[in-house]
Amino acid sequence: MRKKEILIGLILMFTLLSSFLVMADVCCEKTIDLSEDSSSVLIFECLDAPLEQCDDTYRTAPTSCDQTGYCQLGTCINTNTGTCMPNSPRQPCIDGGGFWIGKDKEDIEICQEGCCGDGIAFVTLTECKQMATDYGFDTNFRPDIRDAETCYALASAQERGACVIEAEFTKDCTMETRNTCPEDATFHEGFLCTAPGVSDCAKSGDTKCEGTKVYFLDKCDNLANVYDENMFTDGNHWTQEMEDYWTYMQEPSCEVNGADATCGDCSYRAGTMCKEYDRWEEGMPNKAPEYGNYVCADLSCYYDTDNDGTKEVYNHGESWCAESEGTYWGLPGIIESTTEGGVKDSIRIELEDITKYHLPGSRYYRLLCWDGEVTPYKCKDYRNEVCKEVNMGTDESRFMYGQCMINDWRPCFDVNNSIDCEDSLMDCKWIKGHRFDRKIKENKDEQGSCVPLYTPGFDFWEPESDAHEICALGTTEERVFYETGWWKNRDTFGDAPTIDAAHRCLENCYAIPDYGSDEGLNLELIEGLYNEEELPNAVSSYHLSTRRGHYCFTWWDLIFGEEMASGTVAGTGVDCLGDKHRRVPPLFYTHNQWLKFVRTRARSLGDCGFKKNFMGESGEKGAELITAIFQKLDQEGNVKEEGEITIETIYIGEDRIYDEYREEE
Amino acid sequence: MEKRGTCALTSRIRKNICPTSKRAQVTIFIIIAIVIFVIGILVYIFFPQIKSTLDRGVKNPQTFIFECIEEEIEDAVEKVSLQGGSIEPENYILYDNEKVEYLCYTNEYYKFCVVQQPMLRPHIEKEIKNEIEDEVRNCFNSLKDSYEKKGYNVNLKEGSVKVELLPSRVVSTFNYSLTLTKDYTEKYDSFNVVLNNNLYELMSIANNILEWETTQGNSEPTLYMALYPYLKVEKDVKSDETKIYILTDKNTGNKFQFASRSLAFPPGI
Repeated sequence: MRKKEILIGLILMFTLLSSFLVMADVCCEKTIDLSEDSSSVLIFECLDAPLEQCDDTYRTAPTSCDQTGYCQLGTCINTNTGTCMPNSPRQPCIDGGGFWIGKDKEDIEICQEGCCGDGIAFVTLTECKQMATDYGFDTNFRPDIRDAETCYALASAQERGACVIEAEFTKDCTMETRNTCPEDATFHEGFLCTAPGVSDCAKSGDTKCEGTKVYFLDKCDNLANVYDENMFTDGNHWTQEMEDYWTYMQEPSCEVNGADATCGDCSYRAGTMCKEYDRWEEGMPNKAPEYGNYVCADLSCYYDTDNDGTKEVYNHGESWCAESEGTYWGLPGIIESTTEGGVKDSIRIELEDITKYHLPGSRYYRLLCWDGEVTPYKCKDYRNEVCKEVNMGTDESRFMYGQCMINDWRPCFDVNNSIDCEDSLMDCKWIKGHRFDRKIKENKDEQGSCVPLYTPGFDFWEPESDAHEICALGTTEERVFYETGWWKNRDTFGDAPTIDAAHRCLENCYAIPDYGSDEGLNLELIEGLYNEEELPNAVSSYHLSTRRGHYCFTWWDLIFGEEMASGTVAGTGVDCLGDKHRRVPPLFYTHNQWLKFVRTRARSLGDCGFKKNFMGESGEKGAELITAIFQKLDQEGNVKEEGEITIETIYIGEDRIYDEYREEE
Repeated sequence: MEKRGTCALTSRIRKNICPTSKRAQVTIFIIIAIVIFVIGILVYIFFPQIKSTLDRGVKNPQTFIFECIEEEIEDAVEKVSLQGGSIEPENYILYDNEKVEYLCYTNEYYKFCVVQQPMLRPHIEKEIKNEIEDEVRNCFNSLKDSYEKKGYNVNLKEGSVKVELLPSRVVSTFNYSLTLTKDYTEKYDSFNVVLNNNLYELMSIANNILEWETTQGNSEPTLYMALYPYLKVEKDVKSDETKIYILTDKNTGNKFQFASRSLAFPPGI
């Protein structure tokens, strides 16, 4: 049986438009000022830019700068200092007095680094010579050492000792390496200047910071061994161990634990460092040192990350994610070696709240504790990066490592099932409902849309922004079919109350406002209606379809398609009658379910639709519209040419416009 | 027991000089004061070199130049340090009211930056030199005037100015030739002003960061801070992915800051 039908399209659309400009670039030897505001001046040399951005008093070429003679990129060598700077344009290098070679730095012999001055620096030969002149040491360049670590290890392996120059009545002493001790001096390898009989330098209780440790000084201001409170005395109680400590160069036997005034063996890596004692400064030990005025200070930080009024303690070198407005605090990173971590289900559920997380303007921050000070580092704006953190220590001894990581959301659109979408390595989430391609799948895991887990930000105010293209993916269109008698006036059907519209609905009924939203109804009850269960009251007392064709189909339908059951549902349940069969339940049972889906999906795509920003300020309501278009159809389902078409906006932002559309009486 | 220090001397002096009455004591002080004053006048007249150093307003030429130009050099060094190495940057971003120069830049997305000052050290040296040159000339002219007012015959020949960034210092050399003639002749061929500053070290680290920026698109501040415990590296990433690097020597407070834009992603990647 054919039905009289009216077609209604409800279209959710975003008002931002897309436009894409393509401009061919040329190579500008120098540009005009490219800045767009007074906060910068941008005049560049050798830049690929549109012709109108070139300074016409300089050369231009209709090709990329890399293809031109004057702007070709290569390595710029400062022949005086030996510095090699890759990716440098030719002309500015030459103008600056440099020597330019059109090769990568790795392919230029004189740019190859080696070990300089027995482990002082890992630089090029020319740089080494320059440093040797500047700092006054022997060049001793080792090109065979090809990595910095091996080079620096050489420095600690140097033989050091007391270097003594004897005069008639004096023995002057300094601590040197064998190489730096003059030929006319006597070198005592492994001995200190305070060793008995070696020199005139006596022991002292003075100390000094050298590198990151505290050292004893002798009376000639030479460094002795690392400070150890137990290895010096003002009195006469010198033990053999103490005497040895002032005779031979040796490692300290004391150990530093946090802030320490008794032992000078501070470890920068472990979070302590030599500093002048100041009892009021954070990280200082409780008491002053027994000798000298230097101590191992604790480099830990005290910072209230969670804003609970109590400062948490962080180790030197520890980094973690900051709590910032409109972002999710504490995203777990993945320990690559174990692939532990990743986003847990509980976090995914929390992230579904699109009104709370990843709001326009929000940004992730990473905090770093270094030398007793917490420094914030911004992750890339527009949530191009998100901060993730992982505990690299143990449960008892935490050591957090926070990192700004790329928000890799674009691959989400290539995924068509929930399992792959919510893989721990994917920055995506699955929303049940429509697919982007609008296909209906029997496999429930494939019925939905894979969208970014960390909603990206856009420069949506810019006409050329990608935002318009991406946000347009969230636009959706629902075609709602109604069955009505031939004697009914279809021209006024658009004004009928929503309950009448619901009762007459055959297809995609969830698009009708109020559908399934009555008091006393819930999703379980509505779902039961499709499975031979019954409602508490008659179907017709709710905003639900009373057309049997909404719930049932005939065998004819299987053979020829498009044929649904006819008639009205009576009572509290749906009886398909005779040889009719139950249809597959729709994707959404209620209008609210559908609204939630279209809004969540659209807003998850990025800074799309109507949202509050991270400051709590509302956006443009008109960025999110739901518009209803009423059209009369003929018996074949085609739009009747003489029919009246009415267009009405029924939602702006989250507001429903009651007084213009199907007002309930 | 003697109460007055002057008479608390040996017994012999006390015996011969120290008077017994108060009046005589005052007389003795007056005589000593007159003797000292006369000796002073004689020294001032007969020893020109002493006179020279005591002349108010005329200092040793080296000291004069140092005091005259030191502040100008300090200002120039501070300015180039906060502006990425240039006195008047052509491509900069305003950051805390400072014009921070882009030392590496690309206006495109997904591309590594191109080094804008491949010869950074000579560039900075030249910028400081250009900035102080006029003031150096003024200082030498002031020096000349000052000596001429004191009756010297002054022969001043202008020479070159050289600025060098060296470890822990900035050395400015003025190859001006100065001859002072009065009762004697003094000749100076060059003048040096050494400013204690870590610009050399900070610039070297900046160069290394630039190498990372141009080859990797980014750099990690903690790597540098782990290597140099007294260095603080701050990195502020702006919305257009311009990175402002601020290098601070925690011991001296010296700073060097510059901007870079490399491997930038568009909003929404």
